Amino acid sequence: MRRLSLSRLLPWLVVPTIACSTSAPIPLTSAGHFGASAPGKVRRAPCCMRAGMLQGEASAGVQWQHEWARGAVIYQLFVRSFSDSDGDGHGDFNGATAKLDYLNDGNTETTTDLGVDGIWLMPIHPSPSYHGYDVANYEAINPQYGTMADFERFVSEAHKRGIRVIMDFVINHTSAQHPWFLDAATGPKARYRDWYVWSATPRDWVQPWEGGKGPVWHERNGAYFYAAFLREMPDLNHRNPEVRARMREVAGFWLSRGIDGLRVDGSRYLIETGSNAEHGGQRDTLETHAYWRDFSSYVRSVKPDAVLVGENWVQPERAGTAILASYYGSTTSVAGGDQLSMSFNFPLSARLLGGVKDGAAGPIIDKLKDMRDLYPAGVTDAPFLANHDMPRIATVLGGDRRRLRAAAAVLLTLPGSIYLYYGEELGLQDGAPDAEDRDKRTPMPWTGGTTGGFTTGSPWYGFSPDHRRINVASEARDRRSLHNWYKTLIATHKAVRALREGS
Amino acid sequence: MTLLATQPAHPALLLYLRELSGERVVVAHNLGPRAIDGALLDVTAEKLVPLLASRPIGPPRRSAAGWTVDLPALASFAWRLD
Repeated sequence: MRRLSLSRLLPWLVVPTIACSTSAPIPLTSAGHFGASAPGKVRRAPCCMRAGMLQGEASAGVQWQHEWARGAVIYQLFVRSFSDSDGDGHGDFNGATAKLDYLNDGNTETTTDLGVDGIWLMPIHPSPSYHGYDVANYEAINPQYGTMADFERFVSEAHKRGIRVIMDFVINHTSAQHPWFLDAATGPKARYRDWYVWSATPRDWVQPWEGGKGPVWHERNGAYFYAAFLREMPDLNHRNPEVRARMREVAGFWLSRGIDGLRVDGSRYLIETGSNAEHGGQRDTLETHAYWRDFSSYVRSVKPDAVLVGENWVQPERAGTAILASYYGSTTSVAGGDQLSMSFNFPLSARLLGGVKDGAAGPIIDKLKDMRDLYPAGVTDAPFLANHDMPRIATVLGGDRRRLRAAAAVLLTLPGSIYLYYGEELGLQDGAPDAEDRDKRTPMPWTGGTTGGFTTGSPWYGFSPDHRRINVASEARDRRSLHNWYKTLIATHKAVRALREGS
Repeated sequence: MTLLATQPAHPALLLYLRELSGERVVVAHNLGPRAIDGALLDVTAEKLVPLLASRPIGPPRRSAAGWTVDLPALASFAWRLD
């Protein structure tokens, strides 16, 4: 099939390289590792960067070294819902550490573990919300989840088992309770005023995604701040060099503590150039692409085997796939792409679920053709079935075990870095409906008991229906369970190189 | 990944080939609620070695156009091509 020109579809894709105007803080490990290849190693930044050379120029040619990610199976984990070690009803790092052997015990001879290669941690920072996608302190651990030492032990124990750890990086916005915003909101002369996006007058822009209707300019002390998602989540001003430098510093802080990659939240919406209705200026802007090019060069310079995974939530049509393709950036100078190293494949997810639900392969085939035509050569895809913002696949498919097995089989025979959402391997369904999506993020049922083996106390939210039947213990015993099918699929995926790493 | 030819008679059939360094794996999914008899795997190989099966099936049969296989409803399979 004829390969379409991406630059013709998206003429704004080819953007000029911009150089960072500030010298970036450089995270260093005490050991000063070079050429990281094992989980958690951070390399020392080039001396030219430490001397303050422009970052984009200094490291634009540094290549990714995350070959591990091609074909990796990565498990999305919500700490609050995974396992509670202290009986307060909220999951925590010590609980998650105790369950690592469930995910991968590090022993290739055993067959009791799921066998995943990586974990994606949903936000782990202090936050006024239960989910954490409004961060109030980027360099601390949510006290409900434990301490920094608990976190570091979790990462260390994961690495011992060969499990990489990726964390959510909520870069587009902070919490309205973040000290930066609390200061910024005090008035035009505030120290952090320009760290956010302000207008003296109200504007009628709406949320920038397809079908978005909510207001994005919100009044505070006589002025209006921009918040693409919610009033409680004010957007950072990523045009501000101080903000750019600070967020690089935050990334470095975690990469130097062993984190193997960042899942970047809301990655389409970083820098606005005008209203979406008039200019298409609230998403996918040239400036946002340039930002990722610069940020990516920084990450490659300090930890080239890290991954940057974008949440570019786009519509399922071909144009959506073209947008995903654009976030790889150029593969001419950086193999795998000089922007994000992968993006979650929302269009494929939609087509895959629809195809399995309707018994129709056509929509999946068409989407795979779109990817073939539009993705740059040699890049890594990030397919998945569902995530924390979407109805669980078992709910979508009405709990139909045969369809769940088929969906899993398609997912785990596709190329790319494959993402599973915790509980998906059990056929977990959504819990009691909730306006804040708690129903999609219910506690992990380890057993069929009243507290599900999740806690010795009272779970922070109710289990999904039927947890007395659908839980880890019961499925592990059933040779024909969905859980055991996932284990078979993952084992096959890992054992057959053509499935894991092949084209 | 190489998508194998679609078969109009079998709209629930998803077939593709994965390859690496000479290793070739053909993957077949029947996403529909009815069995597919005689699904064509348009590949050349001396032998198909089973790697994955969500349900028991009979071995693929060599045919003039490649290989054919009977796929149960809502089932997935993979074979290495030798």
